[in-house]
Amino acid sequence: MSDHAPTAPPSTPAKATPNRLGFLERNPGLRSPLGLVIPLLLLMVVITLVNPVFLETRNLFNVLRQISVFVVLGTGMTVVMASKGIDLSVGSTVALSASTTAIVLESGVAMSVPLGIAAGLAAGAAVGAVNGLFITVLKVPPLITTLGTLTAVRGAAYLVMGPNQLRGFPDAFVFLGQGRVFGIPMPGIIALVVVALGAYVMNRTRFGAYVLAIGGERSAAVRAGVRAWRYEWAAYVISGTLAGLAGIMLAARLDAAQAVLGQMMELHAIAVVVLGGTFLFGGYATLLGTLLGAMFLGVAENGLVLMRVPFYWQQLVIGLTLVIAVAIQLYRARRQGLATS
Amino acid sequence: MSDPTTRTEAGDTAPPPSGTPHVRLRGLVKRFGGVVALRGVDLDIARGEVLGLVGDNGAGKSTLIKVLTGVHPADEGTIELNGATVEMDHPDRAREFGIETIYQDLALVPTFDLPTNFFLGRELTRPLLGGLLQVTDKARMREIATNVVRDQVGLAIGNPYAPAATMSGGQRQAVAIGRALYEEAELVIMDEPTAALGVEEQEKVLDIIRRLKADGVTIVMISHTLDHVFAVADRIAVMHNGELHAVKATSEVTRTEVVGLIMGSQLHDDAA
Repeated sequence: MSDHAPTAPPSTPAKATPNRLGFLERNPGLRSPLGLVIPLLLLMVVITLVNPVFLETRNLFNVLRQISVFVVLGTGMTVVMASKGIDLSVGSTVALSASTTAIVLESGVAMSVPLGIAAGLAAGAAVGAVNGLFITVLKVPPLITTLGTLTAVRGAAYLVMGPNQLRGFPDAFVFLGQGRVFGIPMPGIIALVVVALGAYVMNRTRFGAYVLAIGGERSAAVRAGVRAWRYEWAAYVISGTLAGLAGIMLAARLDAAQAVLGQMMELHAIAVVVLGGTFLFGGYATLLGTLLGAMFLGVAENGLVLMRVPFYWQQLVIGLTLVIAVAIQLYRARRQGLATS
Repeated sequence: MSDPTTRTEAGDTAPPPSGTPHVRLRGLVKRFGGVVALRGVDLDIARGEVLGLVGDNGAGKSTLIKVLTGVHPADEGTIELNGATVEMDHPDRAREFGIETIYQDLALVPTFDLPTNFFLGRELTRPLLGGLLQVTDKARMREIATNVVRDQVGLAIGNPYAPAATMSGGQRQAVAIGRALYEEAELVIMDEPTAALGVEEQEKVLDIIRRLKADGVTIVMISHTLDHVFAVADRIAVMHNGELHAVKATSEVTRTEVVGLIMGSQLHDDAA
């Protein structure tokens, strides 16, 4: 395998190679997410043919509002999955966050809107910190830990909220879910900012590199000097906080909050992330994929509604999408020689 | 000034050259559950020497290395570097003290490309937005990794964008070696550096070892290939059952004797 390098100055070989390699070869991480673009476009075409209402602005904005929550949840799930973990508690955290925020908003204190938002985010971060504690320090597997917190946090939401529903929040708060900025629905803007930040952190910072490293080959990361527990813990705090944000967005859009919110959202989030190409078993993540995955599932669900397909088909679609997406991912990974757990 | 402080049951000692040893291990014990992997190891390693570490599977060679580099903190015993006691609690610490390790399994993340693996744990960054943010400088890491592997290891790194899992064994090994060389470590530990390589590549690795030695770098080399150990090592340390069974100057021992020592025999009579 020896190569007698040309006697060109050192910088030349490094520059010569990129010119011979195509865009996808220089950015192999984009292969999976970009693979969703054509199916997504096809899907949109098919739905429009069946029911042209799909392309109406009102409908598209509705889809945008609905998928925004899953883009935010998916971003947190992407980070956790990159570390070879999973967070099943995000749906319950959405409920806890929405309930906590609602209580503060209705309490009549001064500055209730910023305080309410802070409380919701803090509730999410707290759940994430607890998850991180069990997983990182007590070494309870993420699947079991977050299965436990999924149940416990749902209970906590009921403790906070009771069986009631709170509604009628201050306008400033409701704007987050129903308002528009430059004509674009607010939830869409929040979601785009979150996913862009997520992409920056995972692709361009040391933090993101270390999260991916502990997910890809933890022993290699540790031997390279990475303090694995810090990044693993942080991933769950991020996931919890973003779930808190999602709860706030949901409560704002509905202008209502109750403890039953967010049921099954964790599965939807996982489906979205895996569909986009992020490895279920860590080491590779794509936020662009999460965004496209959320768009694909959102458009599919919207299509089912527009085609007047009964509601329960949506459950079927999400469930099947998750399993098929994982199967495709595993097949591709094996072909590339990337070992899976 | 330094005593022959490498003690073994058999009393086989070959003292290192005099001066404060680069590394001094005393009484290292490491247990994993009920298994005692290291039973009290005493060893001095002189600055600039090439020490071959041999022994059968399970003798404790890899464990000794991992304890020395902080992957497994010792249960008992002390580690001194350049005369000062050090607490090796994390691989981070070893790097701080100029110790680089090339692991037998190469310690690479399969989904990362080779330059990212090269710089794992010490990524280069460049400022963005006038210094507000620090972004990983992938282009520079790619360039440096490619150059180091080409110039110091003598191999082409191949496609610097492809995941490590898709690269050849030789390319992966070259990056693992280049990574250790780049930091200009004072102590380089190699765990089976020639194991997965072809003949020409094995010679390259031995040349690298000779070059490092000429630069004054201390080297510890674990190897099952006694030919290679005899080719480059100054002393050979034999481990058996978690103990340092014998340490002999390479010039004072034969291959057959080393094989015997590996299997636990005592060397009677002769040179001390």
